[in-house]
Formats: sequence, C-alpha cells, structure tokens
Amino acid sequence: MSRPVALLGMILSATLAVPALAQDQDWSTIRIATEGAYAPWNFTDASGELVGFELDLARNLCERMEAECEIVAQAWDGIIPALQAGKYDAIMAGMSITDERKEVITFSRDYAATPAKFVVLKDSPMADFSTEMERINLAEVSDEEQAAVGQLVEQFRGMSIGVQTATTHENFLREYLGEEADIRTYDTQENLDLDLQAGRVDAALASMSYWVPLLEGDDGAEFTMVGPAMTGGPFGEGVGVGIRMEDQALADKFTAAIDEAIADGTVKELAEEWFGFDASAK
Amino acid sequence: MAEPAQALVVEDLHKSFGPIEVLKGVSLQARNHDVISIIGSSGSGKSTFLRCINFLEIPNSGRISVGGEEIRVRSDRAGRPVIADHRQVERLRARLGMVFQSFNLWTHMTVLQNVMEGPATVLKQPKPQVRERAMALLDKVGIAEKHDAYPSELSGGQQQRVAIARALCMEPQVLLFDEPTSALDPELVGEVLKVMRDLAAEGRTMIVVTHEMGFAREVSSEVIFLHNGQVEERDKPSVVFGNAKSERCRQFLASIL
Amino acid sequence: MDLSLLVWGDAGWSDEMLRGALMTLAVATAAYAFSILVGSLFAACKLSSWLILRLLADVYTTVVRGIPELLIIYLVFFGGGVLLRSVASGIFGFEGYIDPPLFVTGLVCIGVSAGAYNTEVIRGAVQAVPRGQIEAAKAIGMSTGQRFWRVLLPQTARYALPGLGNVWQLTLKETSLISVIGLVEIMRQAAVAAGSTKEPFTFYLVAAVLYLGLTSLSNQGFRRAEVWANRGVRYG
Repeated sequence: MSRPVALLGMILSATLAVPALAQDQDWSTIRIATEGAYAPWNFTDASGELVGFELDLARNLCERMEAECEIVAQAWDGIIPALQAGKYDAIMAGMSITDERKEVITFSRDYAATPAKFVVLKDSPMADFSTEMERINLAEVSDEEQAAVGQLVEQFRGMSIGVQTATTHENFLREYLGEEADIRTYDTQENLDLDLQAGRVDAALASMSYWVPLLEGDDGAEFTMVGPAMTGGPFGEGVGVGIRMEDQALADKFTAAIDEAIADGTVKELAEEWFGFDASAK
Repeated sequence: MAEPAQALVVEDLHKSFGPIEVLKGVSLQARNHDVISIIGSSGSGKSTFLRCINFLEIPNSGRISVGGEEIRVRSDRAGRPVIADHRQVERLRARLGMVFQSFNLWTHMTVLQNVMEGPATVLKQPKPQVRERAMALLDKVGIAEKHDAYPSELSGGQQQRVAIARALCMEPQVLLFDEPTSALDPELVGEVLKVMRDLAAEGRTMIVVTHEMGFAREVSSEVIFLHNGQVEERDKPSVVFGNAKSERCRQFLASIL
Repeated sequence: MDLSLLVWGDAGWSDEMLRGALMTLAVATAAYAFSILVGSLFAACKLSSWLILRLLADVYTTVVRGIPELLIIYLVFFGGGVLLRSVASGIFGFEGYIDPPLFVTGLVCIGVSAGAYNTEVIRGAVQAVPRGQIEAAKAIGMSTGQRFWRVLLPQTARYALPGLGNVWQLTLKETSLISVIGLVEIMRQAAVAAGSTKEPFTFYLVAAVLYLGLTSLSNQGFRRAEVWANRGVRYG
C-alpha cells in the first residue's frame, strides 16, 4: 500500500474517530489486535489458530495486568485506523515505535527489538572479535557500552563494510563509522551476501532476525556473527504495544507489566523460543 | 359508439424551436377515409407538423382533437408548453399509427415481436389473438415468411412494410406517414407505395408527408402545400397539380416534376 | 513449492484459501449489484433536466473516480462508523463502539466506488440508444414505464455490457483491498498463509490462480450476455 495513502488514512481516521468513548476505564477487559501474518512475531497455523511470540507474550502480560484479553486478527493495512475507531484497544503486531506513528498513537515501552550484528567470513581475521558488552543500547549509553563502541570503531578502521541501502543499519554506519570504514551500500541484502561470500567486502551489517535463520542454512555456512548486538539510537526504539492517544493509563499498565516480564526473564525465554535468539528489549 | 365523422382536427398550430417559428398557424381536418398528402420543400415544416399531431413535438399553441377528444396542453414554470395529461396522450397515440422515415423497428425484437408489441403491451390484448392478427397483417404486406427475422436482416423496403404492419396491428383511427419512402433505394420504393395505395383503397384515414408526387396526385383526397410554416395551397389533387392558385406552389411543382 | 501446505483441513491451507475465494465472490457480487443500482440512479441524475441533480451526479463521479479506491474504503468504513455512532449516541444515547456489519459495509464501500464507473457506462449507453427507437415506442402509445422496460432497458444493455463487464473485473479486483475493514478474502488469506509459513510465492500464486479462475468464469458469463443483447444486430 502506498505510504502517502496510508498516512492520509491514519490522519483522516484520527480526525474522524470519536474521542470520548465511555470505556472500561479499569481495563479489566482488553481487546488486542494482531496481524496474524508475520512469523514468528504473530501468525496463523494451518488450522486457523493465532500463534507466535506476541500471542504468548500478550497472554502473559494480561495475566500480570489481571485483565481478560480478547485477541483478534486485523490486516496490517488499517490496523491503526481501526484502533482509533475503537474496534480494539491495543496493537501487538511487531509494530516498531517510530516518531511518525507517535503522532497518531501512543506506545507502551518496548518489549522487543531485533538487534543488529556484524557478520564476517569464518576464516576472516575478525572472526573472533567480540566486545565486553554483548548488548549495546545506543539510546542510553553507559560507560561500558561507550567503551565497547570504541572497540568497534578500532576493529573496523580501514575495513569495508557492506549494508543494505536506506536502512537504519546504514544510518548507524554513517554516524559511527562514517570516517573510519569504507561503507558499501547494496540494493538488496542478497547481493550483499554474495559479495561477502566472495570476499569482495570484509564485513556486513544487518538485523539478527535475518542473520540467525541464514546462518543455520547452507547459504550462511561460512558466515559467523561477531561483535555486540546493537539496538536503539539510529536503530530505532524497538517494538511496543500501540495504544490510542487518550488511553495513556492503559499504556502505562502495559509498560509496568512488560517491565516485570523483562525483569524475571519471561520475555527473553519467549524470544529465544520463537526467534532462536534473545530479541527481548532491556 | 359510432365513429365520429371528424377523425382528426388540427386548428391553428404554432411551433417554435427557440427563436425560430417553424409552424405559423397550420390547420387540417381529416374525415374518415380521407387521404391527405402534405407536400412542400425541406424546411417547410411538414415533418414538424406531423410530429405535433401525436405530440412527438409539443406545439406552442393551437388545438388538436383526435376522434372528437381534444389533447390538453399546459405551460410549465418557464412558460413552455408541456403535456398536461400523459395518460390521455398515450391513449390517443394508440389511436394514431405512425410510420417513420427511418422505419424505427425495434432492433432487439423479431419482425413478429415488433408487430405484436403494441397490442400486447399497450392495449393488453391476449397474445394468441394478437399473434393471429399480426401474422395476417404481415401476410397482407407480403412479408409473412420473414416473421422470425430481425430487422437488421431485412432490406429497407421490407423493414418499412413491417413498420406499416406494426402500425396497423394497433387498429388505429388515423395513419400518419412521415416521408415513408425518402430513405429507401429507388427500386424499393415501389413495394411500399403499393401497400400504401392498397390501404387507401380500403378506405383507411391517412395523412402522408411525402415527396412522391405520383402517390399524392393519384391517391389523395386532398393535397396541402406547406411553405415556410404556412399552408399556401389546400385543394383536390386535380386543382393543386393542374392549376394551383399559389405561385410558389406552381414553382415548387414545376421544379420537381 | 511445498505442496503439503495446500492440503485440505487442519493441516493445510486449501480450505482457508477456498473460503477466501467464496468471500471474494460474495462481496464482489453483492457490491456489483449495489453498484448497478447506484450507477443507474446517478446516470438518471446526469441525464436529468434539473441542474442540481446533474451537479450532484458530477460531484459523485468526479470525487469517487479521482481518489484511490483504498481511500474510499477508509472514508466509507470509518465515516460510516462515525455516522452510526453519532446517530446511536445522539438519538439512542448509546455509547461505545458499534461494529457496522462487516459484509454490508464491504459491499457498500466497493459498491460506491464501482458505482461511479457504472454511472458513466450506463449514461453513455442510454445516450447511445437511437432516438428513433424511443420515438416509435412513444408513437405506439407506450407509457414511460413501458418504454423503459420494453425498449430502453434491452437496448441500453446492448451498449452497456462491454463497459459493465469491465467494471465487474475492477470490482472483483477491488475486493483485494477490503481486508482493511476485517473481511477475510483471497488477498488477506494469502497474506496470512504467506506470512505464517514464510512461503509467499506458493500462496500468492494460488491467489493469482483463484482470481484468474473467477475472472475467466465471469468473462464467459458476460460474453454470453453480450451475444444475447446483440441478437438483433448484424455487425457487432
């Protein structure tokens, strides 16, 4: 669907939506929408049941919030306008928190992110590179994370790094390694993989949700992931629960529940089960 | 009820198209069995006059009576003439059969369906009787074997004969002919004129706008010469064609005969 | 291509895809019927002697044909919902979300959109009917209603059918946008299956085959109708 139409649609329905709906303000019942077509976040099995990472997480969060949850499937196109119209109360559909979306809806805190990682050939001199910090969140950089970033810059100084064009990953490289490394952009990820395989480029940067399944198959047999898993900053704010602007109370409830679920490791567990790596937020 | 002697009376008909007055007070009286031919050059208003009689055009002023019943006209908000009573006009149209220059047979119906349509739909007569009458009429105009054909499969002359049968099937009081042979190839004109002569011989009341002077002279009971929307000559054929009073009429006839 | 995905029943997606196809057909048919009503109505307006009706019809066709179908669906769905809710709360004092019945909403959304195109098709067809056909009907004493049913309609059909067939195809394909309001038809079902199994080619291919099946069947239907409508015409 074309983006201008989508945006216009969102704004239009925001203006059309009736604001004050007398709702269950205690939120003992919450209707949650998901897409059902975005494995492994949320999808449908052959018998028609909704399954996936976010389905399990939603049920867990609702337990914590002591609420009864109704989960419905909604096509991606129109998922926000229908929220604004009141068809349901929350969206958990692998939806990234972006400034553009924050203009029309609000979000809970993030519960997941697919971190970015570097990949090199197994026989590359950088194959053993790792930093002190396994995870770096560029939004709020601690001292240790800062040090790890420094290590990164040093390691890749003078190297060529491939990245898909017009991605957040490209933004990161330009900002942090723009002067130190030789950044090569590719129109498709597949072309980047081919060049990496052929040794024409020293390293590649992409999302872990892409690397993990690739490295398990034949095409990625000679690749290995190196360095820290990075989120935040130029990579975006992660995936959160989308909620109507006026229901900030509900957003806060979700945030509290997510905090709990992260703290006791539930989110990490579910993420590893569904993604094969820890895609949870911190 | 006995047929009134005056089958059709038209009094002082005026008709304008915008600022142009096409009919400037034309009158006509047709008794039963009259055959009135209307002649004149193009632009004289002959067709317009005929089309006013069955209200395909609505006259600006004047009176029209069919079988003694006058058709009511009123003015709309802009002062333009408008049919006052649609039911009345529809009823009276059913008593006036019209044969068009371009035949106007309904292209999505067969020949037989064309002829049956009026009596079946408008007069609501039972189909078996209508069918019988229709086949007889098609036979009479010499085209019975084509009853299942579509109009597009027929020649012009054949189509016009079907059109005549269609008009006759309604059992009208008066038949109106609007230049019935003008659109036909010359060799097809004869077959249509023959049918029309037979109708006249039977005593049908006919009003015929035509260029066929032979027909006008030999078959009519009265000839009207129209010029610039006015009647310039109205008399028996022998007078009009032999010794017309109007100079223009004589010139017109001289130029075409 | 993994054919086991297309098994019937709980283990495969065939039954879901077929159900989607039935929904596509149902919505398209209902919307199309509605669009013919709407199209006839506005065509009559365009041919009317009243300026206000002509203007109204012009606005309708210009606006609807000028904005993307998806936007029309949004406007009708969400606008209709707002309308329903304000009527409900204003007149009945009812608060809360009213779900307009999905199928009806879908058919109205698409019907409104297709109706604009049908308006032009029908208007053009009516104007193409030779005046002499109607004059003969008048001259024989038919009422307005009789002229409409016995002469105008059959002849308009002949001129309108090619255009109407076109709009039908448009309608059928437009149903692929209707998933935004929640109806599960071919496109949505294919997206769910593709996203859930990571086999997009398989399911989008199936979707294409289903659409092709529907369009070729209906093409045949329209061709038959055209033959019937042109039964009196020699060349064409």
